[in-house]
Amino acid sequence: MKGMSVLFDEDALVLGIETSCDETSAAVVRGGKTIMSNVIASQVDLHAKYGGVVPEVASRKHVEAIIPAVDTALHQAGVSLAELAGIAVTYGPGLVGGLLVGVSAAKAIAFGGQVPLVGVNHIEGHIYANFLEHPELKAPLICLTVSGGHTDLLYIPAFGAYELLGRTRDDAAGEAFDKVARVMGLGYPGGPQIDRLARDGNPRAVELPRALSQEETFDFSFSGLKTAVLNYIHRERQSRKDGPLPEELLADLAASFQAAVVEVLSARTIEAAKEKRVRTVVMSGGVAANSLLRQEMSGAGAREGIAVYYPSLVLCTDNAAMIACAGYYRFRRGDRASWSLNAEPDLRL
Amino acid sequence: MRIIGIDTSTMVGSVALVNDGRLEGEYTLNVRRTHSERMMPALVRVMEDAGISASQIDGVAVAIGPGSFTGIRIGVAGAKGLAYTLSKPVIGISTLDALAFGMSLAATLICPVLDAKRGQVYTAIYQGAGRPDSPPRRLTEYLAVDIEEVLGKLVELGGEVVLLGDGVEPNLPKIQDLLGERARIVPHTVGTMRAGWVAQLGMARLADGVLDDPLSLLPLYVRPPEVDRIKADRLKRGAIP
Repeated sequence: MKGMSVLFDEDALVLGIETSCDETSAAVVRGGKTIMSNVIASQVDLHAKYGGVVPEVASRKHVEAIIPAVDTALHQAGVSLAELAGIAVTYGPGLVGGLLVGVSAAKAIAFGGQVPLVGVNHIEGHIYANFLEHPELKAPLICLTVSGGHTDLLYIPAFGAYELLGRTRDDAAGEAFDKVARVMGLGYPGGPQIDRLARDGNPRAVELPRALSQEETFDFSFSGLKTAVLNYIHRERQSRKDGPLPEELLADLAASFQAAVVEVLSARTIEAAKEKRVRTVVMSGGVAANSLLRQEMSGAGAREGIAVYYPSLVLCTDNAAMIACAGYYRFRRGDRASWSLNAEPDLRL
Repeated sequence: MRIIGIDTSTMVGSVALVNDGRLEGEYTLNVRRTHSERMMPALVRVMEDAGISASQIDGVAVAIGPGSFTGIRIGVAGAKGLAYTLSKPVIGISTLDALAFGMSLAATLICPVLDAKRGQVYTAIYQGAGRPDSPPRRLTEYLAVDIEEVLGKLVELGGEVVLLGDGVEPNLPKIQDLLGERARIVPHTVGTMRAGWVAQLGMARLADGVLDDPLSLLPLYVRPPEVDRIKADRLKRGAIP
């Protein structure tokens, strides 16, 4: 195959494909750092009425949107298939139906275009979103990946090497945001809604638990916090004979809930950096877009002399540019996928 | 004109190369391994063994269902990706049409039956012309129904019925009960779906200029996603976590 002799140099163009949840995305990235295009077809409106992603609905949308996304990404980048040095596709973790659409399309495009293919771990992609904007970043790093599906605290001693320090034992952080927003009647996705409402609230108004604070662990748990919020809402509703809750109460609750999540996330992340004697923390995933988390993590890092990085908002969401970037580095390490590449919904780093 | 045929609608996975009505190569596997792992290696294998390169392909025909939702998405996404990359047309063929076409020589009713889970089958009823140059004519919609419903229609229509597909065996007692001697069950080795049939139908569509767009071709699901049940579940869980 022609691609086997392609050198992944600083001008190498990689097409990224990402379909692991509810965004169909395709992107072209040059040399692992310059985003030429990053097309994101979001399905968020489609799933909003269900209060969360419905896998079969997502899969149907992916198979509809995948080739137009690739076509638009190539056009916007002004790049032809023949100019690609490689194709990188998310093969896990995520929803299997969506992953299969991306993997199948990517393999067919790679075969038809005689372009080498590499599979990318979605979490690794989120981490590499930071390198797209801060190419100067160097290992070792601590990385907190927080999204609707993941809450992982990782130690990265060198590029491509990952040590999982802790993860959620129940709900992902973003999932907790979605569920709490749903019972508060705020709509989906919950993260941005709570973030906005919390700005008008008092974060100390409602006393909420900080899970696992007594344990020596880098794990997280959010289901107890979620239950406490739900119980609080039930109590308040009952005391009002099922009448509507006042706006100030909801704002206070949003602020208190957000503060509880952010406190645990930032404290444990900075603690991990201190224990591993690492001076750099990166954040990734949809919840890394949360304004309080960015502010608190940066503040806590500054007090300890630790630099904190996070991607711009668009690169916090699921996107194919981060997959193309992670794929570029995989290609450079000589990694290639075979034609039997399969979706792995429970893929670990 | 050389066409690739692809079918991933059921546990059978098949790829074929058909050149002007002549089968050049076909690879059919009926195993449990996922289509995601099987499809591209099978296609690469057939093309290599037949000595055909991607640039010698004039179109891609794919079975779009009904069938396994996941299976048909793998086939459709792959076929679209291939056709898009090669700048060649893609032709979506109903899985039931392809199965009926395989029985073209029958001059009777033809009824492909696929297991649709939840006690139902995907099916349609065709009138065979008994001539190889004339594909069977479809008499019904593409259906997702209880086997009794389609058997009732067949009883009404009368005459012999050729039945094939993976939905036949699990429903054999009911079929024999309602159709008796009129049911002509096609043996598995003869009636197993083959991508050559998909490619041949694709070839006819290509000749007629009735093409699909690699940007927009969709699977034929027949059944909507079960969102109402999912929604109800979720709202319940939201209220009582």
